Amino acid sequence: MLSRAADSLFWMARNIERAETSARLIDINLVSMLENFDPDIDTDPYRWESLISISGNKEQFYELYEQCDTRSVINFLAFSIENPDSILNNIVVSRENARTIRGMIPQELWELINSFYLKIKEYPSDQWEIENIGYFFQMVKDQSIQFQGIVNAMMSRGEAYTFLKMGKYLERAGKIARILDENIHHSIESRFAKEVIEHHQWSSVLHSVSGYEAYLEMYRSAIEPDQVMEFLTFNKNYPRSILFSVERLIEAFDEMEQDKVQHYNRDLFIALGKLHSELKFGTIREVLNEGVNSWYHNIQDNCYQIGNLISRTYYLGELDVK
Amino acid sequence: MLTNYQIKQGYDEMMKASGNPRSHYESIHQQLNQFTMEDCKSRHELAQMSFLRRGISFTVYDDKEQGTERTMPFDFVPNIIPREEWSRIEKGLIQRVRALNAFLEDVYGEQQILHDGIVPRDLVVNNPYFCHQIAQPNYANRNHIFLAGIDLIRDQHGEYLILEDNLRNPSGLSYVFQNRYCMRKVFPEMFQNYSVRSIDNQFSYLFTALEELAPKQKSNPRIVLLSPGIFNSAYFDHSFLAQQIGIELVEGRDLLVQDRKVYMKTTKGLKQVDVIYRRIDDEYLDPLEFRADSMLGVPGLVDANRAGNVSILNGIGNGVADDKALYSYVPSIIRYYLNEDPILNNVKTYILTDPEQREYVLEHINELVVKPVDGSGGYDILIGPHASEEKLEIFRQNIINKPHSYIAQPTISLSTCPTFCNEGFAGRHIDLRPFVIMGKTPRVIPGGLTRVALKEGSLIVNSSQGGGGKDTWILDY
Repeated sequence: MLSRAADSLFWMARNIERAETSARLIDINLVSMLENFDPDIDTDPYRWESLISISGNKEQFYELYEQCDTRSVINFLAFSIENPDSILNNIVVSRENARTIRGMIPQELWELINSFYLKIKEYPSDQWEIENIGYFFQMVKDQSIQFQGIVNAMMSRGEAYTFLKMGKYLERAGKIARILDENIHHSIESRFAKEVIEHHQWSSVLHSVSGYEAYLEMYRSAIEPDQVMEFLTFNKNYPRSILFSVERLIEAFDEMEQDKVQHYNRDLFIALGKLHSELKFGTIREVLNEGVNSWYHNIQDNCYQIGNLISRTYYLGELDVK
Repeated sequence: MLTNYQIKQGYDEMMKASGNPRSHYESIHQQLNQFTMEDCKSRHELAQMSFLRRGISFTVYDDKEQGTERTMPFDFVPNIIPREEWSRIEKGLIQRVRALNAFLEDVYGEQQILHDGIVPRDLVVNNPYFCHQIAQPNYANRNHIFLAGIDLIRDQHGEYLILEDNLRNPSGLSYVFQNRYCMRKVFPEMFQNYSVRSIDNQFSYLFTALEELAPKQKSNPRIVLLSPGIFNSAYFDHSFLAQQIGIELVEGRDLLVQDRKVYMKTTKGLKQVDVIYRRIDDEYLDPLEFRADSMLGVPGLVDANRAGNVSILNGIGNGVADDKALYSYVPSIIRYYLNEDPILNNVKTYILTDPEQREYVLEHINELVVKPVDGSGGYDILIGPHASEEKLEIFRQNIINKPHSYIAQPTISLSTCPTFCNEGFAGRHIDLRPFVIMGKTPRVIPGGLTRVALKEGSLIVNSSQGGGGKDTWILDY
């Protein structure tokens, strides 16, 4: 297929995934804030700041806004035109990508993305209230789920589908690593006991990837940081774990290359293989021993490299003149 | 709803002068009469929404870069043409396009017709669309025209006349299909009692014709549609056609030329392209040959074409044959190449470089239509009977100063067709653009785009100026 078309499909999938992830994260944060758990935690700038690190850029945020509070953070992460990773921009980009490859996606998928875009454009982004902004994030989640549903139910498993798959799972793998990294990163000072804080924090992490029930099924009882990390990193059955995402990514690569490794895709094949081994054969014990932050940093780097390799392998490729 | 339908002067598609519907419109007439105003309004609305929802629109960009989508308004009273009438139109169109094709092959080759003085040499070689770059082309089937759009009107006697030829980049084909889909979806019952010729199979004819026009009769040629991209207002047309015909949609930046061959940048490397159905004007096609600042084209494309390694359709330089100034010579062109009289006639046209004709036109300018030779989109046209004294004077001066830049024609009262407006059904002027596919077997797509001037009394049907579209039915019995 046209390199440019593949590029559009890849980035369309990444952007939709990115928007959904942001929506979920912000929503959970908002809910727990509204539940008024601990005033110290609620006004804890780290809480919102860590979100900004995951879905945006701290420096840019502080250039645009005077203080870090609920309103400014949500404006930045959801509606800001200046933030290239705001939900608004994610969807604008997705829609432009979709327009470019209209002929390759089902008509219903185009209509869905188009209406998603119109809904976001029409939302009164300067007049929202904390009580009802939740509806906005719900809308984003719903539209994203519909997107996945249409792709799943209506697209032939050909090249177009495969590039969507690559984009989605690469984005997911990197983002989960980022989220885990951020959550381990800071410790919160509070008058409550450490276990209680951790329970609350890591429950939120699970809720934000809709993994709370799935986690309980496996681990029962307590929400412990190590176990949550293990679940979201090494579990091969849960769709929002890093291992699961990387395995889907490799599947996509195999489908694309029909299981043939050639000189032009070798680097990508190797990078994927190495990342896969780390996840397939690693344990949470090893991660803790090595140091969690540097381990997850590594994963994110690998994802970034794989992104570059995908670009090289399929968009510029080898200039083969026969 | 139709009891008060008034026929102004001129030919009405549905109603005879007696006040009765023509036989091929009887069933529709009956049905429309049974609709209530509410019916009509709500279904009309439904039709417009279905276009917008499907994204069949062109984008008008404002300064916020988030454009507004507009669609071509759709009217649900179809333009119906009985079989015999259409058969004659088909023959006439194919005859005309064959002659124009022969003309193009000749003027870019031996120029016999110019030597024989049938067409003034000056008109051709000094025409801004004449491309010296393609002298002695070696096109597959000697075909310069893949898809032509020939605009037809009917005069007050109901005779079909050729209004204009479009041999470069005729647009509107996707609307032909969208209008039919809309009719079927929103007004299915209108089809009862009619056997309307299907247009579904036309895409395969388009594909076959493209295949047949591959260079050196290459089998299984790779065919692409070259579009200026998403910011072009006809982009939907391009993407729809590419998808339906089954060819890849590309932009200039997806192609490159190496060793005089054209390649497409794919995820598996470079793949050679054999046929390019281009929807980019000549000017922007190749920065090495035409406008150097064009970002839409492909450097070296024309050279690859010259080398016989890629077919470019419609051919480069076709503008010399659909020129308004050449239009009056087309009947002679038909006789010259085909030895036949034209089946379809031109609208009478005054050539203003001829002093006698110019004199006549200046004197009767308030009865005539004056058009610039190189205009499009319906702008800068003088409709004498509707124009102010001021405008008439401006055009008089223009004609005196630059007679070669204009032509004049009598004001034809285009035929009218009942059209749904706020007050109910009223007669609005229409024209018809059928599309001719010139493969090894020339074909005319049954029907074509009927355009309607939505404003009362207006004769301007272009969508950029408020024109709408109607479904066109060719009857099969």
